[in-house]
Amino acid sequence: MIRLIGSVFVQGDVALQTHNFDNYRPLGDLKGVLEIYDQHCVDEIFISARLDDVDSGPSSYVLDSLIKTNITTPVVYSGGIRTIEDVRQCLESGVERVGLHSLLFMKSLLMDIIQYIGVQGVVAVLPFVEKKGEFFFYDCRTRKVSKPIGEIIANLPEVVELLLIDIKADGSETGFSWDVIKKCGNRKVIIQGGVIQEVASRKDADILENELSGVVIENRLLWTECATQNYKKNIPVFMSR
Amino acid sequence: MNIFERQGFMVSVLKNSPKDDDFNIVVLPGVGSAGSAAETINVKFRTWLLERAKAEKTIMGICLGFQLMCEGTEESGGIEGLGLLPGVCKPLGCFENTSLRVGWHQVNYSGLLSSHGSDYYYFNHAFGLDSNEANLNNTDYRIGVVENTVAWVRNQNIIGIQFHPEKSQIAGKHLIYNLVEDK
Repeated sequence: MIRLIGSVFVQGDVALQTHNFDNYRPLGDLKGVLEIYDQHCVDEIFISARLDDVDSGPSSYVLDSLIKTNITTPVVYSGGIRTIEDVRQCLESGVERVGLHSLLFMKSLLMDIIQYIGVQGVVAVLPFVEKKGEFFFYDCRTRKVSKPIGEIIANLPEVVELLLIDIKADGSETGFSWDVIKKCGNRKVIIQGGVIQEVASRKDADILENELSGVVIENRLLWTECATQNYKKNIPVFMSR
Repeated sequence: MNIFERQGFMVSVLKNSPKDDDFNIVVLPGVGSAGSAAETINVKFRTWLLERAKAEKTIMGICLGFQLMCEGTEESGGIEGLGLLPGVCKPLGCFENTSLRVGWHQVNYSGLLSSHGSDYYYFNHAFGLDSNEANLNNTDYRIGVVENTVAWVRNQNIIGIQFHPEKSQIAGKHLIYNLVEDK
């Protein structure tokens, strides 16, 4: 079955919902958002933090919020992770898996982190932009596109799970560039950005399950009443627990 | 360990083997890779844990903690385990159609608990114990499986759990409560 993953974006001390990673709307306190996701039984929570100071390490606001919550839903955290010590801090705060972005290009450090946390503890976070039928990695720090996404994926350890984020479709119900999945070989991937409408309408559940391990929903799980329960009940690829 | 406290249990986080062992249950948690965790266990806890097992006091390993209770694991270049449970953990790709299992799976807990039934629990692992491991067929061991992987194994006071009850929402809370109360 495919995991239904709720996401939340954090900047400073505020949880936000995003649209194209360009427009933001405050959701308020992160702890409250996490508890809503937990109560609604999403399969995982993906927290992505944008840091004012890129050298400051993981968001202390996020880690403090996690320590204060009673949630028992697995959390993937991404943002500001630079060292093994940062990873240790995340784990001690209750993070189950770390999302790595810039560190994907530092092979030696990436391998050290995998050695420390185990390959199952790492998610490769790959925002991308489509240009003329090709897919390019979007660097969240510089806000510029760089290498072709296929080239980056080819250099990652095979077992690491991939999270593909379609920047242009972020916050929408539709618009994900599905052809990007062809760049991933036989890997199962998590996708984010304009995915839910097509996932809901596709009839080939078995093919979808072969391609995907998770679907991240940006905003709708929070502001549509019973959205998680309804998606799980009505979309066959999600597990109704 | 917060989940145990929130269920009303008193919890101590041990940094070394304790002088007085009056714990109802000892939990080996399961985050990280085998190499770093095994070093801590071997240096600080190995002798005490083996004595505890011999005295028929309860030890429960979760995920990596469970794998380190086995004879060994091939992770991190090969690690010797505590030998409290049979078998050597291997990459999932050796006995499954996948190299990574992340997600929720239904597990029958009859035999793990005194009650019967099943529920969904969260798994996150790349190494595991093959359920066809010959020594698990011994009647001393009760096991639950997901596909070809051991999801849990129990031999009296020795309990190994591959999934993460502490990350499994209400089902996990119920399991932990009942495991501690049942033990």
